[in-house]
Amino acid sequence: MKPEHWQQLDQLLEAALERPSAARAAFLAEACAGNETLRQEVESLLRADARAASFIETPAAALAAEALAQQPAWDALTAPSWVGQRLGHYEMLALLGAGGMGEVYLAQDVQLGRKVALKLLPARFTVEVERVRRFEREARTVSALNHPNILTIYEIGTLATEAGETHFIATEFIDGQTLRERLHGGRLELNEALDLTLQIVGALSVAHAANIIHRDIKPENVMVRRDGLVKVLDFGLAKLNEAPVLPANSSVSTLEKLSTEPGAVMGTVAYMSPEQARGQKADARSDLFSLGVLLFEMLAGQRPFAGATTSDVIAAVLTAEPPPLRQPCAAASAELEQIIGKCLSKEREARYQSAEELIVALKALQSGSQVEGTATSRQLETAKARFASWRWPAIAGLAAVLMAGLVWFLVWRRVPPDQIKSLAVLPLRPLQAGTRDEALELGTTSTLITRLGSLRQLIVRPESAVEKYARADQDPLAAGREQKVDAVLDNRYQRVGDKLRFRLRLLRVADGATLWADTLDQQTTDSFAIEDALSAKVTGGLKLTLSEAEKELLAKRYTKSAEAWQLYVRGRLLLHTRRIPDIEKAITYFEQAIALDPGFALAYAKLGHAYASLSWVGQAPPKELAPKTKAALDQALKLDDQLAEAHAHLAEYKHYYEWDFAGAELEHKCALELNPSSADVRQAYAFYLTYMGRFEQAIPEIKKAEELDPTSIWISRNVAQTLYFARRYDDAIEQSRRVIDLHPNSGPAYNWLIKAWEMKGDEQSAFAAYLKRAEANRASPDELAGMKVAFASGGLKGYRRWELDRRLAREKSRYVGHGDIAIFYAQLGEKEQALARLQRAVEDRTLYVVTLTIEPQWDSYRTDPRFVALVRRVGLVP
Amino acid sequence: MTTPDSQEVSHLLAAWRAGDLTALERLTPLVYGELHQLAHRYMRRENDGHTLQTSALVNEAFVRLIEQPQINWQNRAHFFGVAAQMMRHILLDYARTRMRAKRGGGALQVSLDETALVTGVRAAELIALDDALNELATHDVRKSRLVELRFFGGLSNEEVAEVLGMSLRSVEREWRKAKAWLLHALSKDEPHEA
Repeated sequence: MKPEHWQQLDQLLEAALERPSAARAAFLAEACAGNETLRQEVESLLRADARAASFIETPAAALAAEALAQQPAWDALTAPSWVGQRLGHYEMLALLGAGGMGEVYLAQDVQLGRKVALKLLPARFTVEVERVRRFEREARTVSALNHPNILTIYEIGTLATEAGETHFIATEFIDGQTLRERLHGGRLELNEALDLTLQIVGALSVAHAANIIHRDIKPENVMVRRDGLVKVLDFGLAKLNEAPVLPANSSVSTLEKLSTEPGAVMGTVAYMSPEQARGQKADARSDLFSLGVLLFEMLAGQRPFAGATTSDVIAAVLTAEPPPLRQPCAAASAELEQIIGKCLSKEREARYQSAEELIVALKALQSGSQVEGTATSRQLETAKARFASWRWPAIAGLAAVLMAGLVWFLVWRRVPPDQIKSLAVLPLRPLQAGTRDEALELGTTSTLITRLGSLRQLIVRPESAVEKYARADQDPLAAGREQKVDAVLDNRYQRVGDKLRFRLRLLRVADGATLWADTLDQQTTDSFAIEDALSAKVTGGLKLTLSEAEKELLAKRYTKSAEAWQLYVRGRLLLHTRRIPDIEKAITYFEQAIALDPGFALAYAKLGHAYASLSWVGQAPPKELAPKTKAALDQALKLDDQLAEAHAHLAEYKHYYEWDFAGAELEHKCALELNPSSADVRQAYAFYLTYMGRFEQAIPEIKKAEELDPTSIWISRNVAQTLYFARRYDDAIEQSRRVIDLHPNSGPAYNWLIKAWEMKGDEQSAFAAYLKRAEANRASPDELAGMKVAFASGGLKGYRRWELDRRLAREKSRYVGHGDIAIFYAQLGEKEQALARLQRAVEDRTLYVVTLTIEPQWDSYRTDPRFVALVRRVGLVP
Repeated sequence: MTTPDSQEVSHLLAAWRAGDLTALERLTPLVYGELHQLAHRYMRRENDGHTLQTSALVNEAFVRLIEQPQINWQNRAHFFGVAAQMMRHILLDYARTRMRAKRGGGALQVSLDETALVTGVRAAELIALDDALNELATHDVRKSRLVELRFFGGLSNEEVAEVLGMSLRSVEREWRKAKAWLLHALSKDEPHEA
């Protein structure tokens, strides 16, 4: 096109557009007189204009963000495959597959010399930090269950590429095929289908017991090894790709959701449960529905819910009844059809309620259909044996994983460049793998934490929160994100001759930037000199402006003996578990520390606290332990009256034992004054406020404690306690669920859930929580069975009677707190017994009695003069 | 990644404006790096259902790279020009990668067009649009830049007017004509379209 021609065209178009559409034809006929081609060109442009109203009006904005974020580097745009390249310590060998959930490579782990399957997650899955954390936690938890039918995860992490990081999952590499590939060869024999299904449901039952739902059971996610062993892949991964859960009555259709949700692949829809298709929350029964679809497909060679388009499939999932199993599957009995039908019920309530129920049904069928003695059934036997033996080691493993991976909700916070308000001091680690100097690591880390933690301008996570990051390969930023801090201090050491070389790094969590780095060489002999030099370097690096008093605190030495300090730190960490044997061991450590340094005030303070803790967990009557508590605390304060923790523990003593409520509050205030940024001190005051019924003050106080130590199960759990006493039962349940979600194996996490359900009168839920707690507390199978029988025969009342009898029997051989027993009597309606027990609790000065005025369970007793007298005796106003 | 110094960015912009084409080459990785980081951060923060405004992203990248209290409008206009070009490049490569993946066949079930649906333009259409835009540039550079700034750079008409030194009225006129021309060019291949 010649420039003149273009100009002419452009001008004519503009002139035509300025005219009303009715006048345009006449205008063009005149203007283009004789030039028919030109007229037609303008006419077609005008027609295009009529259709162009919304054309490219929306900028490519959403796509731009994704494109930018997803592509790790400019170059990567044109090089989508990593084959032949090295990422971290992985040599990428071949692309095994790719899908909506990412690309999977066969890779060689060059460090450990083994082949792994490496899945790179698409960036769009990993933009939400909280989801990624959650997924990681679930994946690790499931993997730690160590079930033969669950794919083992080796590593989850991020790999740095030139301009960004990619999340990856490294798992064992399975030499076999996916069930999808297997099904390409046609439908399966009944025996084989049952065998595979039982293996899958075995994996599900273990995962469900750990509160983890797969959410995406489909043939692509099941690998079958050459020897027939099944591995279920990608637990919880589906959640990363899920839209927010909609309320049950939501009218937003799945189609809408699918059309806006990238990555919703048609294949998945066919295995989706109706509730998932509606966008509602998936639970264990949703997995069983998907498994039903799978079993149907294995036997019939086709899917029960089919359709030409995604929406047709969804419609079928939601409304259609599955067709009967066809002729080719003559072996299918009426029972089998019934089992599948039950799995595929539209309503969850009509399905098997747990994987175990389905296992029972399938096994009954299997023995009934006289499975021939083939290799398949032998595998089944091994699988069964494994199933029987997984439970205990798995629970122990799970507990270990949970100890190592306490996670709280992550909030991504932007930090202005120089503003470091919160800090996690990671445990000191050796620069290279090798023998570790535990004493040095423990001593220096805890000194840094204690010293920096005493500064007002800085919130420092306590040792109990960071001790789990001691692994040599810990990612410091991941730890920082988990702890919700602005920065992490990552210190490494290395022995160089008779010297120790320290490499210190301060990293900003938001973007991984190194804010400061330094090295320090020290003689190995003097651990105090090391600690002092480190503290000085670090405060310099943090660019803190310190007051004179703070400088003093920073140089403060709590003990003259390095060994005593280490004993103290160990004891302190043990106290955090609140288990009787640990508390007793902690007491030994504190006593040893004091023997080494009789001037060690902090050790006295914690010794006093440890004795008090023993009485709170019901090891012995408080009146036996109180004198020891008091003596230790007095000694602590005599040695150092500026110790915040000693004041806080003295406050607890005055509150719970002396019933000196005003005196207790003064001590709490004094402790807070001395150290406003200690989570323990804050929490102690929050407890006080709760027990005094001052909930409006207690809640913000405990929230502050939570900010100081966001991963502490105790603080989070105590939020539930406060909500319960404030009679906000729904909130207490909600909060308890959050805690349980993160710490499902912690018995005490269920305490306030149980009480809240009881007050709401929901016996079923209360008992379920009682059971869960017993399981978390590792109750014996006999005990669990006893509980269930008692509940089945007499409801919650039956269970309470059974529990009361058990405690009364136990009481014959050891001390049992009277408070709980009093409550059981009250709940059983035995008022006289309840009051008698309360009387004994008051005489023992059990901690429990300070809650008499706020405990909702006693509401019907409040007018009884005997109850009033007890409350008065404690010094509370009835 | 090294943090570009703001003087360096200003200097490169000025050099580019003065006709030094190598300045653009040196500027590109700096701007890309910043945009990439910002996009990452936005995607992390955004909830489902929110989309990131490209112009906001570009604006923030500019402010961060230049770090000057007194914003030089000339610089800003040029910066937007660089960013829009870059965005076009990134999006096109992205679309092509996706198309390749789609053609890659059975094993690769990468969900392609669902993502692109958000913008109303599918990967394939994006590539065709780019071709048409290149053709448009041979006739009318100004229109092609306008489309680049609006569609790929996410700028409003007012911003485009500022960047191209045109009146708002002219921007509106030119935009309408450019759209008509592009849509016409795109429809030519489709037999059922008139």
